[in-house]
Amino acid sequence: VTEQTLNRAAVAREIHEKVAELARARGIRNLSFTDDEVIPERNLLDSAAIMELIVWYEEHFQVPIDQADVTIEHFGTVNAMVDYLTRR
Amino acid sequence: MATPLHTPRVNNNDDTVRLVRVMVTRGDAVRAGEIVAEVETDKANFTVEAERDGYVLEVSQPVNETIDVGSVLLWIGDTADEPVEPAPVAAKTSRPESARPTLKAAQLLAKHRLSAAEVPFTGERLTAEDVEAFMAGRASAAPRGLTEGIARALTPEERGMLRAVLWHRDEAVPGYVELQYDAGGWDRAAAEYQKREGLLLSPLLPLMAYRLVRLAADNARINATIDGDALHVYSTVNLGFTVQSDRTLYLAVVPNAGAMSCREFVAALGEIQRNAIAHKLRSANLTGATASFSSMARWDVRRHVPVLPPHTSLIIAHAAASNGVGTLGATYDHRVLTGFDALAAIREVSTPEGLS
Repeated sequence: VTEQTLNRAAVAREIHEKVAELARARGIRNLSFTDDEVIPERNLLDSAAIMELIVWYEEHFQVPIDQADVTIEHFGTVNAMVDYLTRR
Repeated sequence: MATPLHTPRVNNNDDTVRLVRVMVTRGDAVRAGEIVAEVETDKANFTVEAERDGYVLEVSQPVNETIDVGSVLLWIGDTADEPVEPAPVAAKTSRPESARPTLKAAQLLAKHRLSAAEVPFTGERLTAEDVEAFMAGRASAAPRGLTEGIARALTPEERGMLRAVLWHRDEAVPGYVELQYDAGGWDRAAAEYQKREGLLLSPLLPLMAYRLVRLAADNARINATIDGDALHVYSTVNLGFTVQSDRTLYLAVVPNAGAMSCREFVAALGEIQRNAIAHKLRSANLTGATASFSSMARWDVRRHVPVLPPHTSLIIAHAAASNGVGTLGATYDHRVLTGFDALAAIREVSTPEGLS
């Protein structure tokens, strides 16, 4: 296992936990979702919660996000968010 | 260092202007070139721009008063809490020259949001003692004193909210109408748009707000307010959109939204919403709304009656749908719009026609 994959796994855990925290705040219990599931399609988070997630992501990882990048492609899943970070 | 922004000379023949409005309050961050106030002569209205970046330390002149060209309009500093050097504040009121407020009196008037005409004076000029006596009289007229506690200054956001509710209560003549509509049409339109554009967030509320933008661009009365005896029609549509972040409610403003395409507007509003949630709104996105949109659907609220943002005639209220039936309401200024006008507006916004 390389250092890069270790970091990637840690980042994925952090994002996964943040998504779960925001979902719990919406009253969703018995959470179970994979890092490849499309978050809006699972209805785990509403638009405002997704926006909170993006704001957290930007501040937590110190990555400025262009509004044009706030798409399913870049932020639809936990893994997509990890990919976006590793490309920056 | 604190630097004064002086009242500009806008016409060679005018030594005074009327201060129509001030778009900033103490503590606001401003950027050079940002419009901070509007003044008026007999001939036209003019905007006043900040000459530097910084923070507003003090607004030195009362709104709706005639003030001298060259007098200090407001102070801007490097930080939000530095002291302001005393300077002549030449507030000239419509009262006789002998009742002109002293510097301290003018500062107190601004602090208590009073005009000189409201306060009785004892000497040749209106003094700080006159203002304090007037305020003491008001306090003693209160039904009861406050239970012991600790006072703190309002935050800029709290001051903004106070200003809004006071304008709603004291200036506007608010009315409210609402209607039910088929929420399915909008849900489908938003889902199609989201899929087509690959958006992460549902564009439902931005798209509905954009319908209001187009409506305001085509209907002058919606994008207007009353100023004295005149109907003041805004030259741009600046869309206000409420954003709740933690315990702070922002009215985030998309300036010049009427000149934007639908796609540009959705992107601009998304970015401004993010900035609001992060408490990083730029001052240009905190003031100057000309028509507004608010939703409490997120909290499953079925009806809410919003307060009119200052100097606007319409705010549309979106609520949660139930069994496919949505509710749209509108608070409107009856001085500008009739209930029928407001109803026609929300009927337009209730359908997703004309979006691209």
